[in-house]
Amino acid sequence: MATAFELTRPELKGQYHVTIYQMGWRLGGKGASGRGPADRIEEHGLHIWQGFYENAFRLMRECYKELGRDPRTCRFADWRDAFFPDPHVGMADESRKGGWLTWTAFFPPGEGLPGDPLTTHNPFTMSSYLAHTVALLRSLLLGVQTRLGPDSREGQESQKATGTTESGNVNGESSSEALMESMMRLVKYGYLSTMAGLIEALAILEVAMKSLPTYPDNMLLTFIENIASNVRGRFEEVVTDDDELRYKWEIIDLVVAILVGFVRSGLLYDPRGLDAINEYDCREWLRENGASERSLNSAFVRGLYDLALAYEGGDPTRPGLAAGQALRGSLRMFFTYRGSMFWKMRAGMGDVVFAPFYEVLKKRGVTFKFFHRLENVHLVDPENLSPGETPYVESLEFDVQAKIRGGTEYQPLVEVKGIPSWPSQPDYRQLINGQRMRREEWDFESHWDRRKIGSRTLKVSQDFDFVVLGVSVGAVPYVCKDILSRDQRWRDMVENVKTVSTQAFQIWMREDMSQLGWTEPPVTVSAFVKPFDTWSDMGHCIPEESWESPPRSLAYFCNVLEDPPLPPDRSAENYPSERDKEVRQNAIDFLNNQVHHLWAKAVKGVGEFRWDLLVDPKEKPSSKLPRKPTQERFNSQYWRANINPTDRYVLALPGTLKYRISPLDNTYDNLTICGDWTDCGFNEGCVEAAVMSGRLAAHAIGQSPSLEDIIGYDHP
Amino acid sequence: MSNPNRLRRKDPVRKGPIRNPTMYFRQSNSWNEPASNTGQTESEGPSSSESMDDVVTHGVKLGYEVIEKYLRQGQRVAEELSNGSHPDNSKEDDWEKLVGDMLRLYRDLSGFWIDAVEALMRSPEFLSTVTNVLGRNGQAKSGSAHQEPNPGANGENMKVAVEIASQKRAQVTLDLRPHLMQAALQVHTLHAPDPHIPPLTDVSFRIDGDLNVPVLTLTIPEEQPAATYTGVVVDQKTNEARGTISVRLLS
Repeated sequence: MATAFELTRPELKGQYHVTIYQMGWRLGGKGASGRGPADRIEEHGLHIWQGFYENAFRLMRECYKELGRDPRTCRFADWRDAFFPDPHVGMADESRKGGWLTWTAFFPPGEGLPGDPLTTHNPFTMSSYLAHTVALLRSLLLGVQTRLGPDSREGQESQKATGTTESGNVNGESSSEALMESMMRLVKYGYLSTMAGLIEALAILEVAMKSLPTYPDNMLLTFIENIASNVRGRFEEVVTDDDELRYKWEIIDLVVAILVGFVRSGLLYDPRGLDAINEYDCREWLRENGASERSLNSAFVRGLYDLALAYEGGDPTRPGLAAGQALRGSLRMFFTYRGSMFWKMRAGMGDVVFAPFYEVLKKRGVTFKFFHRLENVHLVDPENLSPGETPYVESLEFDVQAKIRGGTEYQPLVEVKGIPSWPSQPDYRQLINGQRMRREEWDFESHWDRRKIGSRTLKVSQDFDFVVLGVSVGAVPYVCKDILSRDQRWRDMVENVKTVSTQAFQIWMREDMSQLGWTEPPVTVSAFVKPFDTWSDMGHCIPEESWESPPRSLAYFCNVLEDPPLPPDRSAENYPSERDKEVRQNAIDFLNNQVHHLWAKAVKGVGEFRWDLLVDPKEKPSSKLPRKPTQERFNSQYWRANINPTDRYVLALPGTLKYRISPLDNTYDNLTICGDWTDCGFNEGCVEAAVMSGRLAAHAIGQSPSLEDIIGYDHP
Repeated sequence: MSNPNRLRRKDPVRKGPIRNPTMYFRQSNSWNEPASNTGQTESEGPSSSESMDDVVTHGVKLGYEVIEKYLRQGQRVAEELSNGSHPDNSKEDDWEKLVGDMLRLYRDLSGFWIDAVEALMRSPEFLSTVTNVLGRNGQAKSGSAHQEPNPGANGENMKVAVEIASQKRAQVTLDLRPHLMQAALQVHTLHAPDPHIPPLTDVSFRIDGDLNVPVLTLTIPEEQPAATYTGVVVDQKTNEARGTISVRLLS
């Protein structure tokens, strides 16, 4: 969508005519959503946008502006109607005293809004990040100091250090020379063993980080390592019994490790930027830089892995996340967000994102060909190439899954409460033999359902000039057989850039969150117990659905789903239903045995979820509940196993990012690729990566947008 | 048979992101648009009272932007030439424009740096720091002096010898980036802010065989006006910027 949006911008004056070939009936891939019974929103999983998604928000804002919806008739007329800030984030952690604790943090609003034009000040400098990191560490230490109850003298000194730093001076001295002397003084006379000394040291470090080239690396490293050892020595033994103190200490320990690692790994000047440490797993790199085992297994680190679904093969015992990309993501997330750390969508991702894009692209003249399943990207025979000519895509082969009555274009959207939305099922009435397909349960999105009504081949120069391959890397082995048979780089990419299945379920309940026992604000909690380690309160979506008697709460859960040792081939027709049953059982077990850690009142007792809580969209409000509701009631809810190659989530495993191929790659001079699995600058599965990649693909074809305009592409 | 009518993608200007912390200072056109929210972003840090360090960072940033544009233009020209892809007139026009742009950027380079440094020199904090540093490390009238040790690529101390022949008191600031001591260095002509003042041209780097350290040699003509002269230190092989040199000639 991002590529099509860029290539059809009015400024390009119709230079490109774009046709989008889409499997099934809806856009969005693993971001697609649909409206089910009671118009309830059914997602592939949980989608939350982060405040640093500059490219994604920028396009989204432009899209809504161009759409020009009338606010009197459409509630989602502006992007701000469709997205709202979510400043809370939670982490679940096992308490030393037994049970689970949830830590809910509030992140204050960041200046501006995501997608605002950036000022001339580049926010993505290493010195800026490090200064912020040190400032974070300093405020954490001050927080811990408060908790410990410091003596008044130390407190005053600390505050003094803090106050002077904010004005750019440290202890009345402002020059680089003075800062270096201060560093040496603190190290030499042992001041770092006091809290005041530590706070002062961090104040000095914060200023020093803003002008890195001024200070020798070895001096900084010595200074930071001294800070690290004194911080650790001071707190390690005093925090074991205090859960809150322990939680803060773990974050401090990790931040200290990052600081040491930055300098020790030479990241400040390495021409590879943070990619220099992508061979390391994030935990491994933090461990090498002094983080304790306790911190490495803390909720914070587990949350980092959980949010990135970073488990190879879906196996919880095989976490893997490239250290450089993990750091890049964390720095962007914590220090460059605008407006809010997180943004939630008021309805499904299909309704809020893909329907507006569909409408704008239609207005611009883009052609959509639904029910086209790509089967092969066919390269020209090398023997037919002129000397020196670059290989290229000669044809594209599709299965045609359905034809539209009257030979017209399929109309994919339905209106729900005035909002153009995607249905969970195709509109069979528009399809030739649609009723038969419905009876026979054709699954147009299933990798294992190969039924079709015909084939179609597109030829270069006749039917297309350029190809943008927007399938997931999981599908590449099936649709790029020709390329894989000839190209070692593509084979390496497919072998090393791994994906994972995911599982998700959604439940609508008749009691609100406080009745269920959750007293915190609406939140997204990660680092919880497997198999569903991430939960998000999505009650805000209920008003967008069409319930006769609206539920009082709505919760989404998601996580990875363990893959079988060998992927099943296309003949394994029962595989989808088996995985579907597995996810259903996982959800039931989770509700019975784990959810009480979050919602104490959602269970009658451990192992006994209150199934009467679930709202069945097919029941009339007046109908009475069964006297003894059982887990069968879960069948009225929504769950899914994301096992299709196109639905699998791409991983950022250590040592694998170098195998990604960029949309800019010109090995095949009429082909480019896009998706969050490509080498797009931010190599981690997310909306922002997908949009950056899409914009890069547009640049590869039309040199627009400029690379400098792709925010965050150039980044250490 | 090959298809002569088919369209081909152009080769991209570059194939990946700029990760090098010394090279990614940039502003896109869109970045220059006025922000809808007039406050500074949280990530920008304090700017209402910019410290001397901020000024230095900003100056270096400005300089590197120009250098980067210059390098990229040069790369494009080299690619065009190596591809031999300029037979037709329109291409030739493009190519000439490219060369023209490159030369203009090259000319602008020194002036741009001087503008940036001139801005820095207006900062009393900066002047005070420079004076402090040179007062200890770089001040020399004639003969030779050693700069304070700088970190090398592996973190060990590295030295640069400075030999100055001058009848006047001169303060030298040499700001070299790390990881460069293995490179053969070259320094461009040093310019004063006033374009009417002749530049310092007799300045070069060589390796001292005995000490195995780079030696900066600088000869200042007797009639040279008092001013601050500034230039860029580059890698002799790649012409990549490696630092700056500033000579303050006192009357």
